[in-house]
Amino acid sequence: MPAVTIKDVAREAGVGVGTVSRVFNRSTLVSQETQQRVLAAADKLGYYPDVSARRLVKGRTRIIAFIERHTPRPPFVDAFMAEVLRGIHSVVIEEDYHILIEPCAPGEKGDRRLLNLIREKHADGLIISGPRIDDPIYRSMPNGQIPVVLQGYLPGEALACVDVDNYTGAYQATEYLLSLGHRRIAMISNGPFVYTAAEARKAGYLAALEKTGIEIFPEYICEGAFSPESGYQAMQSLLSLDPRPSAVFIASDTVAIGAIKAIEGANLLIPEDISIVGFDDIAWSAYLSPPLTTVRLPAQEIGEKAARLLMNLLSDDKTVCTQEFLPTRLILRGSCQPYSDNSR
Amino acid sequence: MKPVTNSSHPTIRDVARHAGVSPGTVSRVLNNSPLVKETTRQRVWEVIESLNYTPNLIARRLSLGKSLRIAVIVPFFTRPAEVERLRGVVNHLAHTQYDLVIHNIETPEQRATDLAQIPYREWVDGVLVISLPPEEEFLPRLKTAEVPIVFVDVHHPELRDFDLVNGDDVRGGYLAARHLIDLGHRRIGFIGDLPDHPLGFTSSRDRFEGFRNALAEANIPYDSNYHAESVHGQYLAQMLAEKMLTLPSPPTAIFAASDTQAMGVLTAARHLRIPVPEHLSIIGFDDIQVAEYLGLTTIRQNLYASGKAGVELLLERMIDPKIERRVVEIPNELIIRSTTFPPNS
Repeated sequence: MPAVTIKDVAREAGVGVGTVSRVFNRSTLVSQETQQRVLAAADKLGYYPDVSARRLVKGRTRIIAFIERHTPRPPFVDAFMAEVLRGIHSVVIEEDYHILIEPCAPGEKGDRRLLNLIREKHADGLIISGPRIDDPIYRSMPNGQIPVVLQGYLPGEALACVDVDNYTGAYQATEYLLSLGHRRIAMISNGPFVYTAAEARKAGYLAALEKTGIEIFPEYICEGAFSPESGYQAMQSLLSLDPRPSAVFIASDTVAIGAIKAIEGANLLIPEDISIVGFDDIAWSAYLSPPLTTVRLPAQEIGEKAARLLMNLLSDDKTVCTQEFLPTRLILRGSCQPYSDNSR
Repeated sequence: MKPVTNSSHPTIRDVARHAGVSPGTVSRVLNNSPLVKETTRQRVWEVIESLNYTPNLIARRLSLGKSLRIAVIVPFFTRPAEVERLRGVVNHLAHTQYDLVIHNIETPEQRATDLAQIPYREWVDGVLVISLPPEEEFLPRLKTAEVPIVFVDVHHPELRDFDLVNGDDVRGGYLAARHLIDLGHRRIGFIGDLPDHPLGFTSSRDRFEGFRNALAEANIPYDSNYHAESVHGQYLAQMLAEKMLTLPSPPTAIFAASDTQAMGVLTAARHLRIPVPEHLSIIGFDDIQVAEYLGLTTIRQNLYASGKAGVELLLERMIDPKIERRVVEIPNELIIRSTTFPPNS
């Protein structure tokens, strides 16, 4: 006979899983009436909470902290972040966990806040977003105190992580531009190259170019800073080059928004004069003018997987720290066209 | 040189001794009290780190009588504007010792559960409710809640006992319509949210009211063909706009109840090859961050500032529960960019 689970009790009592859990943890947040109903349902079904599990649960905060480790105030990253949070939320809420949001930008204050969080156990587990290679925090993080999952990837660190396949996404975007006949293809990164995602996207871009044997111009590689302003500036410098690139891979839709402004400011047309491919597929990419061809990241799925990984780490010490890379998808819209000598 | 301690579990007294200060000072440093000199603070932190002292959060909470946590209850995932309000909340709290727990609400059941279960001292020290009008039956309970509650962007006649942060949606709608009328438009459409959303959102309804007032003032009769509503979203707004713009006598201007919906209208215009603003003026509402990049004319209602103001009011009331009731009004401002123009004659 299949074991009775907390879900069965919840259904029988007509309440949520979280409520049942609270009753068995003797939380004061449940009314007498609800308590009776849940206990009656448990009795009826023959449900006995696993004592060892309950012992594990005691002393827990039932909170997961989502740590934003980017430089302060990255604007449109919010749209992507919201989707990731949605994914995390959908998983943790099933286990009666809540989400803390903690901006811990790199720097003395942010570092301290993060370390305090861990030391003082404000949460049972962390999901850290936006890892960078030069981040010293991973050296000083108290070892093994609470489980951490990176939303992103840090080579050399044995931490659990969920990331997208940045390299392949960038490779496919560049390959697409090559397939349209472009040979002078530039790139603007999403952020400084100390961010592993930025570095990986550059590697994908370079690999696609190297495969065709075309010349790579170092001036064609620009660094963004997560903002439309940085995209604007980077594109301006690209437009001043001679020969000018005929296509640009911009490794972030947010940065691309600024780059588009720069192109318009120079009285050039997209895609007639310059083709562009973005990255992320933020909420507004389809609504830009022209609609942006871009690389879609499964933002919600990233959140879901990271949360699931963290929940596994929390419930079982023996869970291996895995690293998952989710595939991206090139979304063709209206910002690219085949290379033609006629473009200005 | 690493200080010596004869215990593997350093206490606050060990830290105090090594830093040459009193335990009370160490405690103040841990609580980010402004009363501590910077040099002292640094010295104490150095000792904390070298001793690997881990303050007992539970003990601190017990001694302070606080949970050091604030809950925000918000329909976060389905309404893009809320993300910007939340950004104001998150960034402002980052300067404090409080953690922020988000409670996302999609249904009235979730709202009921959360409003019933959250405002308790054991869970949080304060609650911020964003854009979610509470149901009648909950009001008595909220008024006697253990912890302070501040409402942001909630318009409800029975909230006289609570601190509020609000924007005037009616006035904003009026400003938007007025701008189009002043440019010379008389065939003006409105695209907004379906009324009677289960969660009771009021923004679209109020903005439409202001819109109608402006039309009435200018003796422009109401035309139901120029009034369309759908579930809140870009794509649905786009569908409504495409329908409205293919009428035999389409509007020459459209007021969308939010920038999200305005983007849908912009897309519709592009699909129908209607040049904006030459043949169609579009005005949105909110001034979300992407609006600037789209050149969207809109009504700015500083979302970030509303989140920040909500946190400020809440922190003040948490420190002094007897403080008088405050209402902060977030002003509306017409931001003219490049999507509005006099009608093509």
